[in-house]
Amino acid sequence: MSRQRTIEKIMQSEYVSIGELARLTGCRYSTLKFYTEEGMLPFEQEDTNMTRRFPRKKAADRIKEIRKLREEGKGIPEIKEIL
Amino acid sequence: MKEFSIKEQFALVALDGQNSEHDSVAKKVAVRGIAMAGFLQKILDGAAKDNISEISAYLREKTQKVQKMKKKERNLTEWETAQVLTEQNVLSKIPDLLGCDMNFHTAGVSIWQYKCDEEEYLKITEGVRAEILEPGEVSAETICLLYLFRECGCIHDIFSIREQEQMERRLIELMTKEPLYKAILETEFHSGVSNTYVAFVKKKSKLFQNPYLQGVNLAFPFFDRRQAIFIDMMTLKTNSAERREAVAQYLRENGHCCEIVLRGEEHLLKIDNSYYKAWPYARACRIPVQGVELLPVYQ
Repeated sequence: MSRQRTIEKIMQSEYVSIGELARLTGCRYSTLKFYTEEGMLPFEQEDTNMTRRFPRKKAADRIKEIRKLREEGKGIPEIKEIL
Repeated sequence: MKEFSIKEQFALVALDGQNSEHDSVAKKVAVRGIAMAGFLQKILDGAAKDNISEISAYLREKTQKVQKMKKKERNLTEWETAQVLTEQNVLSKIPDLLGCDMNFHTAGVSIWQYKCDEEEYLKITEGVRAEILEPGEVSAETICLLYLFRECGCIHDIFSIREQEQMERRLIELMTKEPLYKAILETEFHSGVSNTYVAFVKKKSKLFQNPYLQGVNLAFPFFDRRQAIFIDMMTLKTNSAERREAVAQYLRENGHCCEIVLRGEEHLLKIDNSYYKAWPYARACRIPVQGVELLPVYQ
């Protein structure tokens, strides 16, 4: 049985799961998945169980950046070019 | 970012949008879930029992207790949980728009509802969705939340039909691997009658989103009271813009955030983050009463 990591532990770790990233940023799961598939979010994939791990700081900063650009009215193709 | 227990996380999702003053079937179901969440927390913290057979017996005993909760106990559980969440500024009571309807307003009935912090709601539900739908480990907290959502009929609000199938497959897979998850998921405390009633109300509400049935609902508002809110506005010698502003002003006076927004050539009312059309209408009483119907806009 695995337990949910506390916010304190998540904030100390280098990598987070997609669920933890959703909890940290309040970003929708489908949005995170889309950003990942479009190559807009950095991640690493473990070969054994296909789990994606996201570098916490980098991914959270990238989400903030994307949100800011979306608020400025930019579309996904434009944002991809900027990133 | 705040840390919440299973009970608090579930309460935030289940109480959102529920009537805070009066009893309802949906709230009864939600409060039972909140009570059950407290027992699940004890199991996860190891305070309840150690081996699986003892945990199963403990769960069975507690589910029976939850099913037989009296109104007084339910009210106390609701009050305590709401108090804790309100102190953390993640749950508040806001006036229900239905209270502005002519019939309710003139009868002096005030209706209040719970509103959960939108960001926290998203963090909880999206965290659960991501964990169960993505390959990888699923935490015991997520299993408990999914179990509570399932038992209280909230699953349909969080997962699409396709996602529900995917989730079911994943849960079966996890049940075979982890005996504790099996023990939790096999213990049911939902009431078939209550869940059917809640599902019926949701279905009915969805049915009346159809534009033709919206018209029928205007003539017979008892079909779906929340989608036919009538505000009487007897303002003589005024144009439509002034009447619209008068409606917005009335709603603001009754505690709602209301602004008039222009979409294309149409003016909409943005009331507490939802969009409504203000449709001129007359209710047939002894004499026709002129006013507007607030029709929800679905996007």
